[in-house]
Amino acid sequence: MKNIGNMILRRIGQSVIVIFIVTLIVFLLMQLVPGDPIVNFLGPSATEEQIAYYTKLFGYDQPVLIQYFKWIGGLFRGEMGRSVAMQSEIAPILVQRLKNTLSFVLPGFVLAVVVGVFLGIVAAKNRGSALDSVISIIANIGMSMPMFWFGMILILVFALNLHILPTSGYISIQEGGFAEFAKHMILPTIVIAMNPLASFARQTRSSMLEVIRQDYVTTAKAKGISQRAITFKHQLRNALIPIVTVMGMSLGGMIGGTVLVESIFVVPGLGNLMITSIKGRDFMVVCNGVLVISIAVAICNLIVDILYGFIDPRIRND
Amino acid sequence: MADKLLEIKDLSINYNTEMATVYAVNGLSLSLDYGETLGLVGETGAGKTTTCLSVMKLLPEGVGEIASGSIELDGVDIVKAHEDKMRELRGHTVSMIFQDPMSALNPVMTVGDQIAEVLHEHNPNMTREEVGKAVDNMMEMVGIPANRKVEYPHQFSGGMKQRIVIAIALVCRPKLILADEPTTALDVTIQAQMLGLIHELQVELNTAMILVTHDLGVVAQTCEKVAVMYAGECIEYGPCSAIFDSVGNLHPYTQGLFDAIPKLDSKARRLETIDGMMPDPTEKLQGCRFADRCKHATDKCKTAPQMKEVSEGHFVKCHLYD
Repeated sequence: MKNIGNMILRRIGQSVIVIFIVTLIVFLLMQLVPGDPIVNFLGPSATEEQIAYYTKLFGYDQPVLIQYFKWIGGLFRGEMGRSVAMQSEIAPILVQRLKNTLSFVLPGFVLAVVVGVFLGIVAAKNRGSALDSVISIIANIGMSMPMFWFGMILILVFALNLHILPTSGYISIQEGGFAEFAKHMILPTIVIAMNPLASFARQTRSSMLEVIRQDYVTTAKAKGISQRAITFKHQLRNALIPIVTVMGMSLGGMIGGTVLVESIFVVPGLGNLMITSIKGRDFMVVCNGVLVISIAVAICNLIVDILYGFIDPRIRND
Repeated sequence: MADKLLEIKDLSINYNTEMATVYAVNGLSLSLDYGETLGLVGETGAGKTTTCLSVMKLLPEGVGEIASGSIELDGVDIVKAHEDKMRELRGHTVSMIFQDPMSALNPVMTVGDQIAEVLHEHNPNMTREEVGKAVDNMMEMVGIPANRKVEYPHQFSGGMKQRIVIAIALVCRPKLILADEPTTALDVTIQAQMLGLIHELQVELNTAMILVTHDLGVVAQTCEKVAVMYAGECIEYGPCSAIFDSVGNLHPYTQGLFDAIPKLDSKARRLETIDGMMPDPTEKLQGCRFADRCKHATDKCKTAPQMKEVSEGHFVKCHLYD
C-alpha cells in the first residue's frame, strides 16, 4: 500500500509539470493568433483612446511573460482573471460551464462503460455466432457514425416525431427540477456515449477473447464454479487492463471534445464557451478552459494508473 | 455405491476442427478402484490429456466431442450428466492437477482466495472462518506457510505454484485426482519432491489418482496399475509389477518405451528409439495402429487386435499373443 501512495504522489508530480507546460504553450500560442480581444469587444467604432484604456485596464499592454506569470500567480490565489467579452470573472463561469458539460458527459461515460463492456462480454462469449456479428456491426456503426448526424436523427425521432423529449436546450435542476433536467440531458448523453461505447465493446471483446482460453480459466472450470463467477472473477478481471486504458483516454477525450454535442443540443457547456471565446479572441478564457480540460485529462490518467494497481497485483509491486 | 470409482468403456473422442476431424481417443476402456493409482503412459498426442478432460467433461467447447462409449464416475454417467451435475462433481469428486503451474493460477487473485473458492463453491454452509482455517490447513499440508495465502502467484516459485495447484485440487478431498503431467514443467530436483507430496497426500486422503506421464520411472515409483496409450487406444493394461518385471510378454510399443530408457550398465553410445511417428490422427485406421512401426508386424496386423490377458490382470492388445 505504501507503494501505491508513492506512485500516486509521483504521478501527481508528473501531471503538474505536464499541465504547467500545457499552460505555457497555450498562452504563447494565443499571443500568436491574430486579432485582439479589446478590439473585438469594442467593435469598429471604438476610438484609439478607448482601446488603449481597456488594453491597459486588462494589463494586455505588459510584456507577454509578465502577463503569463500574473495569470499563473492568480491561479494560486484561485483567480483566473477577467473575460473581456463577458466583462466578468472567468472562474465562476468556467465552473458553471464545466458542470453543464459534465452533466451529460459523466452519465454518457457510465452508459458507455456499462453497455459497452456488457456487449463486449456477450460477443466474446458467443464468438462466431450471429449475436457476435450483430454486436460487431453495431460497434462498427457506432464508431464510424458522425456525431452530428446521429444527434439530428435522434432529435428527429424522439423530439419531432414522438414528442417525448425536448429538441435541445439546458435546464438546471434548480430551475426546472430533476425531471426537466434529465429530459434535456438524455439525447446528449446518448450521442456522446455512442462512440466510446462502441470502442469499449470492441476492446472488451478482444481482450476477453485473449483470456478465454487461458489455463487458469480451465483451472477455474475444474473447480466447478459457475460460469458467471468464471466470467467476472477470472476472465474479466484479467482482461480489464487494456479496457481501463481505453476508458481513461476516452473520458479525457469526452470532456475535451463536447463541442459538437453542445452545438447540436444547444447546451451552454465548456465546448461552446471555448468556441465563442476563440472567435472573440478572448484568450484568457481559452487559456483557462484548456487548463481545466488538461487537469481533467490528468485526473483521468491518474485514476487509470491507480486502477491498474488495484486490478493487477503485478503492477502494484513494481 | 458403485464398486468401481471410474469405469470408462469403449470411449471415442473426436475433435471437430475446421480443417478435419481428429480422432483423439478410439475405443478406450479403463477402470479404476477407489483409492487406486493408475499410471497413464504414452507419447505426446496419444490422447492422455483428452481422456482426463473428458472425465471432467471439460473438452474444448464446440470442438471436442464424445463420439461414443461411456464414462461412469462414482455411479454418475458423465456422458449424459447435465452441466449442473458436472459442476457439483468438479473440484469435489474429481479434480485435476494441471501440467503447467505457471499458467494454471489466476494472476490477479491471491492464492488463498483461489484455494478458498473451491471450498465456498462446494460447501455453501461453511463460514468464512471455517474456510479460512481449511485453507490454512491445506497450505500447511502442501508445505507452504499459511501466512503466505495473501500473496499472488507471481510471488511464488514454480514448485511453490505447483504446490498451490495441488492444494486447490485436494482441498475438497476428492475421490479422484487427475494429475496431468504434474511435474513436466518443473525441474528435476523438484519433480521427485512433488511426486512424493502428491503420493503422500493421496494416501492420507485415500484418493484415487490417474497420473498422466511419459516417464516410466515415475509410474514405477507411484502407481499400482499402468495403462499404456498409443494413438488414442489403450494397448496395454495391468499391475505395475507385471509390466515392470515382465517376462517378455509386453506389447512391442511398451517394450520400445522400456528400451528407450538409458541404462547405467549398458555400453551403448546411442539410445534405442522407436522409429517412425504416430499415425495421422485425422485418419481412421483399420488394423493395429502400431503396425507401421512394429518390428514384429505381419499380415495379421491389418486386422485390429483384441485385448488379451497374458498373465493375471495383465492385458495386451497385440496379435503376438494370439
